[in-house]
Amino acid sequence: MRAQSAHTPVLHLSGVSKHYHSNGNTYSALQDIELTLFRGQLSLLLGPSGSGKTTLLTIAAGFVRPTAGTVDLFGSALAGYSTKTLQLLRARHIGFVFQTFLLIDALTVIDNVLLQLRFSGLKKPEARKRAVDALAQVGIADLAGKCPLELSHGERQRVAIARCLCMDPEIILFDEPTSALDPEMIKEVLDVMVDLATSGMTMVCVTHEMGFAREVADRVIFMDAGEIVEAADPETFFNRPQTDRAELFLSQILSH
Amino acid sequence: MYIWRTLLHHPFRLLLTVSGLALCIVLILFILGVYHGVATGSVDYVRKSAADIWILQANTNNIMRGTSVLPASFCDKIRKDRRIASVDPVLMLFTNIEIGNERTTALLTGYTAGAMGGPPVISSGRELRTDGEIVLDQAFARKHDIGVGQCVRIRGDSLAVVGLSSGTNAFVTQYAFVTLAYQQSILEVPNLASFFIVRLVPGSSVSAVMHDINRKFPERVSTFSHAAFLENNIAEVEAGIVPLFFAIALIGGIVLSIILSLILSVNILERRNDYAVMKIIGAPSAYLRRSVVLQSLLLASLSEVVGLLLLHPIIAMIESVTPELAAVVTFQHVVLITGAVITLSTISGLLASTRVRRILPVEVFT
Ligand SMILES: Nc1ncnc2c1ncn2[C@@H]1O[C@H](COP(=O)(O)OP(=O)(O)OP(=O)(O)O)[C@@H](O)[C@H]1O
Ligand SMILES: [Mg+2]
Repeated sequence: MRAQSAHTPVLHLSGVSKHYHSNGNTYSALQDIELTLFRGQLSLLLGPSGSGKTTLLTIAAGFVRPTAGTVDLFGSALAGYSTKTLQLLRARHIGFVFQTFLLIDALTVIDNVLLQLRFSGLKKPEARKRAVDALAQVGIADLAGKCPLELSHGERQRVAIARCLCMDPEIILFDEPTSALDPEMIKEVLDVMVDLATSGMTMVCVTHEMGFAREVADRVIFMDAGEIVEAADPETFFNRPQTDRAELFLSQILSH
Repeated sequence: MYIWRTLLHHPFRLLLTVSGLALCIVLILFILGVYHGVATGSVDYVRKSAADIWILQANTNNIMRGTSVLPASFCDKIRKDRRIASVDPVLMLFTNIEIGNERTTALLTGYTAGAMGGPPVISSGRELRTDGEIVLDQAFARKHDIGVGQCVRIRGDSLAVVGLSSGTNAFVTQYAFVTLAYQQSILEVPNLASFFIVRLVPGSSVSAVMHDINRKFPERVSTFSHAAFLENNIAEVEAGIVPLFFAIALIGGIVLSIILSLILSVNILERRNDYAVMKIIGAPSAYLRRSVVLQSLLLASLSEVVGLLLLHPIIAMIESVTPELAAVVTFQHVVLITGAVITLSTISGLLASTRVRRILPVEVFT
């Protein structure tokens, strides 16, 4: 999968909709999404709360089945993957970084990373080396023996990123990775992400960090009410939004 | 390691769980031990006898729960056969024994001193030599606080305790031994015996001799080879107590499974987030299932170790209160319970792991 050229589609969503039913009502979280993400790109998902960003990511990673439409991941229809293949994809190729870190508090930092490698089927000595390297890459090699609860939020998020990096993934999905962090810790996490982006990692990121978005994003996808309203390069999106909805969103978010 | 850490995360809960499980295991082992003790104590009298043939009244096939009365004079008639080395009469009757001001009951067994039919094992003191002496079961003696050198009374007659026996505690009653002549005289039942114990001249055929005895006393006697008679007595004891003990052991096993399942479910519920995270990072379902089963096995093994450590003190404590309740826990019992514990904890673990299967990765995204 890896050795293909840039502009190979990694993820392709076609006609994807997601409806939720509750109390006899149907809520539409996503409607008719068309989206293609290419290798080596950093795509940013922006949009107001409830616009369907998380839903889109969970569908892309196969955690949620779309009500309609197809998802192609790494060139094959996600719906056609067996449970076993999906499990291996998550263990080896798809990283997920979430605002709440998703670490296992009962395990040390290094064991959290090693668990990922264990699931990916790596042998022990090699796994340990990779885990140590990944922690070093995000600058927390010295925290290997600590437990997540002993770390700052910024450090915890870096552990989560290291856990993705250790398996050398095809794509990493970030869902508001900095929204649970204190301002002074946001930078340390964003720095790691900028490094990753520069190194050519394929990334999708939901964030409200506009500076980061302007600086490193290859593409900005703006969502509202379950639809993709605009998709453009950051230059265009931030300076010349094409729709009123995008303009309104930008004015609200930039006024802070 | 994850399992161990999560278990240690709640030391008090771990302690409670392990104590509960350990007590179940002690209960089951104790019940098995008591069963074994009762079964042994009831039939050792027969088992340890060197008899070749047992002769009882017709239609009686055991001494545990059967009444047999025969004229003692049969003895001489049987003895005439040249293939028979010895025939010894034994009289067994439930009798009141007075110890100080206490009055209690024992299975008084009269036999000819030096001949067959005496206590299977003398644990202290000596065997009977003459009339006026008695050998008591050791648990009986402990219960009534009496020892060698002291006296008991039967129908006003004083008997000296000369020895204590083991293998003679049938839990509901205990054996006591006196000479046959003495028993016949004080109980005023001369010329009666309960059964005869036959030994053959080496090389003689048991079945042929039995056949001839049956022919000599048609409709009056039943004869049994030693093995058959032992089996009859064991079957009789088991018929009485096995269902009860089995039920108690079963309840112990059920309680053990329930405690395990409950605690596993609680642990899974509490660790729901961890399991969802593991699924997100690609845990194979076999890994998740295994981790629950291992957790179950770990708890169970820990409990078994604690149970085994507690077993002896607990049995000693119970025996000090009720000496006649002899629990004999054997290595086989430990193997048996280990097998049961492994099976039950694996099943509980597998059942509980279905809860993990139902945990969805998306739960953590909300
Ligand atoms: N499991 C669910 N059941 C019912 N409705 C859901 C479920 N998950 C999401 N929704 C609804 O779908 C819509 C989109 O939710 P989603 O979490 O994708 O939004 P979001 O863009 O990530 O918002 P936020 O910025 O607040 O995280 C929301 O209206 C939400 O209430
Ligand atoms: Mg969201």
